[in-house]
Amino acid sequence: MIAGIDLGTTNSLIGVMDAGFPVLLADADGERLTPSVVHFPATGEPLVGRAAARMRALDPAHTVSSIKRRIGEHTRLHIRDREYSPQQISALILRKLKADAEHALGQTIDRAVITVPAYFNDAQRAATKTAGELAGFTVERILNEPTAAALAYGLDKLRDRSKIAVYDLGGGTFDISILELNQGVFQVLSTNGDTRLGGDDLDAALIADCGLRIADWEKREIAVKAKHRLSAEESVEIPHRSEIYRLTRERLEELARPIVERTRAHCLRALADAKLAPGELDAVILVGGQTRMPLVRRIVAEIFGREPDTTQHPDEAIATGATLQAGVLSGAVQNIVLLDVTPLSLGIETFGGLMNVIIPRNSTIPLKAGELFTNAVAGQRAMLISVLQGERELAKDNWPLGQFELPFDPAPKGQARVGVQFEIDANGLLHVLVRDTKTGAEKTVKMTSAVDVSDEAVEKMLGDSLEHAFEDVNARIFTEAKLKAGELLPAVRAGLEKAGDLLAADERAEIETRRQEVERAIALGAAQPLKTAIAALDTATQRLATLLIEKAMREAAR
Amino acid sequence: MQDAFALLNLPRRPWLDAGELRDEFHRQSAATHPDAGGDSDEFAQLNAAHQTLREPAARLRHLLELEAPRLLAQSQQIPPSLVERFMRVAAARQACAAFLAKHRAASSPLARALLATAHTAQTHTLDTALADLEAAQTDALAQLRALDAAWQSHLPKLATLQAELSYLEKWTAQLRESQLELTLASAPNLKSEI
Repeated sequence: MIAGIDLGTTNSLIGVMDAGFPVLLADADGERLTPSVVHFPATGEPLVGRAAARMRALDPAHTVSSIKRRIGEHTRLHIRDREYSPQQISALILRKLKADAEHALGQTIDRAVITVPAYFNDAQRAATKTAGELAGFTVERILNEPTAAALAYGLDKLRDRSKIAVYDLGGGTFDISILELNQGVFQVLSTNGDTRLGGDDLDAALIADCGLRIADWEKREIAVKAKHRLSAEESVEIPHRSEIYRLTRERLEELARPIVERTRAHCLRALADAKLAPGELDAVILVGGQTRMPLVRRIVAEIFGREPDTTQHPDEAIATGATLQAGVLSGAVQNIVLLDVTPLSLGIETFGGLMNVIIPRNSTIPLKAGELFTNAVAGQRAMLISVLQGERELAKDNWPLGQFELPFDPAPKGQARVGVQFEIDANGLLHVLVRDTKTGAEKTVKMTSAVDVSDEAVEKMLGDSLEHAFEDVNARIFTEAKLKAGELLPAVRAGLEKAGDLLAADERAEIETRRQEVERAIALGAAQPLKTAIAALDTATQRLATLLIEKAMREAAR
Repeated sequence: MQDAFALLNLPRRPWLDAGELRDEFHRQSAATHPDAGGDSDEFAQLNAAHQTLREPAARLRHLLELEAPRLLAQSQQIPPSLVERFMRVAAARQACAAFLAKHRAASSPLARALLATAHTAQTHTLDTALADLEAAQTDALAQLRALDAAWQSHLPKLATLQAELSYLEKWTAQLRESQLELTLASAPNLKSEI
């Protein structure tokens, strides 16, 4: 039996196939959602799930949440004189799911399909696989979350050749995938996303906005509660100690809009890569807890020009899909095949520090791509190859996956040749094979990780930047603000020339006052007053900006 | 080299119906995918063959590799109309890049609002250039389709069309990328305030 697992930023779930149907399993409390939280008590075993989530308020220093945001990083968390990698923390969550499922089923489960955000890179996928292995699973597949959701949605709903988009905004990550279903094949056409964009960002904005004099973790608790209630209500008041926390849906949306707007670029890019217009889609499916928010639904409707489909359970669709894929792999589900893609381009660094793409993003996996390397000078014994993932032109702007050395036989320039095979498997994981020119045998190359900087070096880097930060923080703020003023002042002049006549006299006077304040603040040379003055001038010219755009639109329409 | 046409059970032809190609790819995927009990090498080959045949330029290139590799090796004469088009595409991209740099540098809403007129003009220029490219592509594809039945007696013409289509595909992709960046630079926050 293979389990399907959704290892989420906020919550995790586990399921198995039962008599041909996916069933999500509940823990001893009868709950299917397990908070992805781990607490380390002074003595005894770590607590995971709801028990740990309760400790978040009482003992935040020894409680870890949202570890998914750190997976794939070479960091260590120091907790009670011990060090943990993100994989080890994730493994504790997976171990709890495993134990609960085994208890519910009365049998051992040692194989699993684990989901990851589609936009996870090689390092994040590999780390998730390691976490599964540390928890005692054989990881049969690393599956992309939106693909899993599409499987859960489309199994019985879709006719042949239909195309859907899955918009997945979770606690910590955002994915958009576009798929086509045809003859039992779910083919991903394109995927895009941001592995650091989700409900957590909105929570952080709410905490920063909360005026109550209480600790951050308390602010988080009541802000999250208010956020959830505002999906149905227009305004909430939550008494807390002697104070009252008030939040309206309007204010929530004001804070959330810039965060949710960041998903727009990814959606447009995914559509462009799939070579589809929004009108060619048969449905836009919403999954992920954050898509319960009315504002998210409105923005999705605006991007795709249609009402999104909300029939899927935002928290459970991904786990259900993972369970179905587990069924495909075990043979319990027949006639279904998932064809996924690699989200990021894979390439190598070439002379001049550029990235040379070998496998473009959104290529169907599993796939293989060969590349032939030749010696650049006579007698060259080896060549260092740096492997990268990302979409930027300069090698240094992309994610370094690692390096390996390619050996050459002694030969004149251009005569020694070695074939390298880059292989991306169905998990989205990279394998590099080098073909021996004499025997023709292929050998897997172990890459040395490019991000394997020693902890000491990282701490030194951190220390350096912290020192610098304190040393000239005021000077930096002033320089930045002055630059901004240098742009804003001429813009105000030009704006007034173009559309000043459309403003009321008091509006013009207000702008003039604010403009003089900015100039005074520059002369004064103080950082904070200048920032404040600029913000005031920004506000005073808001209507002018709107008028300018309206004017441009009218001119364009003529 | 693998014969992509043979792998997908299709006759060697310059013109292919996209839906038919996809149906055949999906039909075979359902059988050869490792998850369905197939062999991963076999699937990787099928996958590569589908990739090769999907877009006209790559498909034509593959057909010529199989049928007349000598023609591919010869450098193609680029028709003057294509050179002119390239100049227009390059100019549109350059103007768009310059505008986007200015837009990025504008950090205040007011400075961005001042760029609204230029934004509309840029959008118009790009739309025109793209429409022009698309018309050229439609024309090249129509020629390809007309040659389809008797393609074997028109190999040099196929080589010319191959070169033309590969340029057109590349430029279209570049202009689409510029268009996307321009759309994203249209300040959705301000729009909602109007």
